[in-house]
Amino acid sequence: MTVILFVDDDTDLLGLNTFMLKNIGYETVTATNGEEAVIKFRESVPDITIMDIKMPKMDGFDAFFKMKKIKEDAKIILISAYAVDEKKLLKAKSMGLLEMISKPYDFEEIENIIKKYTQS
Amino acid sequence: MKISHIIIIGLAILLVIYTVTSFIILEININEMKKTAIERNVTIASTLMHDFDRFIKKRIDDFKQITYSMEVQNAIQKSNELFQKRMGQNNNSNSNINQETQLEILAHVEDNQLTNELKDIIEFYKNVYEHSVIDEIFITNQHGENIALGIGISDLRQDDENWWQITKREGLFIGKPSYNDNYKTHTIPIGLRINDSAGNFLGVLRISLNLADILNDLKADSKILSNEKKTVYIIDEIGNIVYSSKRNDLFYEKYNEFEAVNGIIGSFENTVGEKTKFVTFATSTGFLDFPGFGWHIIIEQDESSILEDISNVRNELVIITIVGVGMVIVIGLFITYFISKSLEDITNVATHLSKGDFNYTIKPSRFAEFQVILNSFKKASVSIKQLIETEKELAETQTRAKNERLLAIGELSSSLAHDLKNPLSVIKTGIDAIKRNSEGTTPEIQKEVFPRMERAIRRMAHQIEDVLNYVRITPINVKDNSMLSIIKSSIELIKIPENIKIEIPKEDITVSCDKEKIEIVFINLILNAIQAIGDKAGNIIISTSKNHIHDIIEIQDDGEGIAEENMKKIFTPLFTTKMKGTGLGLSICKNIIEQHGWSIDVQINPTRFIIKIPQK
Repeated sequence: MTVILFVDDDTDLLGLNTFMLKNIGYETVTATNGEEAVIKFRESVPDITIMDIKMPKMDGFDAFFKMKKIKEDAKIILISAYAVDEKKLLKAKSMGLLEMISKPYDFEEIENIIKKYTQS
Repeated sequence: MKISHIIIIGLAILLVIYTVTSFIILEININEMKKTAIERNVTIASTLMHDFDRFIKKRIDDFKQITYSMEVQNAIQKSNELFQKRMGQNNNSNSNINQETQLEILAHVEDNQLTNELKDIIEFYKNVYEHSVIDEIFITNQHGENIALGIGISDLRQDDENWWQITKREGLFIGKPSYNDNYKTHTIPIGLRINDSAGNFLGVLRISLNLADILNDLKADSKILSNEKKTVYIIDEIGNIVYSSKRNDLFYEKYNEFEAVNGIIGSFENTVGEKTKFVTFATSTGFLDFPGFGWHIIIEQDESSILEDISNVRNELVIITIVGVGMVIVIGLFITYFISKSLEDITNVATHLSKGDFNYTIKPSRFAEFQVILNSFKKASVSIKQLIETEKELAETQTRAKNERLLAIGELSSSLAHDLKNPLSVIKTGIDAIKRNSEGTTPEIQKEVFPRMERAIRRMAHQIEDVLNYVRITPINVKDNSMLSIIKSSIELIKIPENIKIEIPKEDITVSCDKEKIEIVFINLILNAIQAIGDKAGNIIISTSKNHIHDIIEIQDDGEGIAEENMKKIFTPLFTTKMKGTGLGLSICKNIIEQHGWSIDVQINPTRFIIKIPQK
């Protein structure tokens, strides 16, 4: 069963997304900030991680870099609300960032991306 | 007009007044002195005249004693009898007595004893007065025959002489003083009638008084007076100078101003060239039965000698005036210098201040009055400096606030974009969820999706509200309001979680404020407190108090505190430590509070917001 780590500081959005993912048959792990995300990543070793960039304590990019250190081929997708740090984005892309999607997104988009990277 | 000129002119006027007054007083004194000197001289002259007359009278009286002497009377009596006898013998022969006969008779009638007595008298006077008093003394019988000759030369018969006849008739003859060639001296002839005890005419005593002797006392007095620079003259009734203290000889010339000598006493001024003499005189009035010679004593005194002391004073006055003028100028210049210097300093200060140089060092002045002005300037400059600095700060603060606001609005736009995207995402995902369950709303959907969507919409509304509150500063509508009712209505607008107890003030205060805006403040602060307490049990305490200048409202909570490093930043727009905060709440509070002229501060441990309302 595919395990998805969903990270967002907006608990409503987080709750809604996990509800949807569970409905279509995925197992979800959640975190509300970067630090927590890294810990959950280490514990649960998810098949794919979907993470918001703007978060308290540790942002999505930093969490991404840590996760990549833990597992080099980790599959991670970042979500942004608006302009992002271009340097960090380039660095993340070079380190194998799968996709970046913008808020507000269609849930279908998430679903497709998960399918795309977990079926192989 | 310069102050210095006024001072110099003022001092000069004072000096002129002083000098003029002094001169007037001096002139009055001069006149007084003149008058006094003249009066004194008149007194002296009249005293001298009086003494002179008395002296002569005394001499005459002295000689009168001789006429009372029995020896003299007896001798004359004898001579008279002899004469009668002889006249009887000669009656028939020759009435014209020739010279020879006369000589014969003289030899006959001369009484040696009497002659010797007269000589003794002369000797006596000489011894007493140490000079010749009498130049001539002789006695005639009732027929004019010389019967005793003490000193001098005398004719045998005197009855043909005028003086003898006057003496016989009137008892006393005083002749004019005249130069006597025989005695080489000035003499005053005096005739005294000799009477017997019954008053019958016996004969005549003739004395020629030495004028020099008579003048002796006067001379002595004159010498003393001449030391006082007074010249004493004695002139006779026709104006001849009998004697003057100027020279020793007698009767040397006519007195020039004799015409002015008129009356018993008097004075006049006599100006010759530049010299003025004060002339005072006294006319002889005699003494008792001595009628006097009709002579005059004149005292002359130079004006300069009277005014000698005064003229010194006058010179001193002139010197004082000159020195005074000099001093006035010097003092004037000094005052000018000091005052101008001080005024210049003050002007400098004023110029610097007017140019805005408030750091100009104000030098102290040595004049208290100027120091007062300088002190005022000093105070003024400090006040103006403070005012300017305050203004500057205010302007800076306002600019900073404006910049901050503009910056904040800029940031706000982007922040709002992000913050709205989250709730938008929630709604979108929610709609997706509903779409997928198109057959109907399952209980699951109702539970998981709808509340989240509602919350997302509320969040968006709240965020928009916050931004609007921050961006748009509307004028405040101030009214007197009950603080307690504002607090209460604020609490009603918020859903207070059950885990939190809220305490409201026991005592109400009335404040002038915009009720709705202050409610926003309380809502924000209470919401903050609720969020700080979170899910735990906690308290929010709202209290009011007063000190002497402020009404104070405090909102305290025992939730999670504010980190010390954030204390200064919490009122900054967009500063937030919360996941879902806009960072505008406290900025809005601060804006509203400041719009009211109040102040808001924060304390930590426990967290307490303090609103200070200045009392009216």
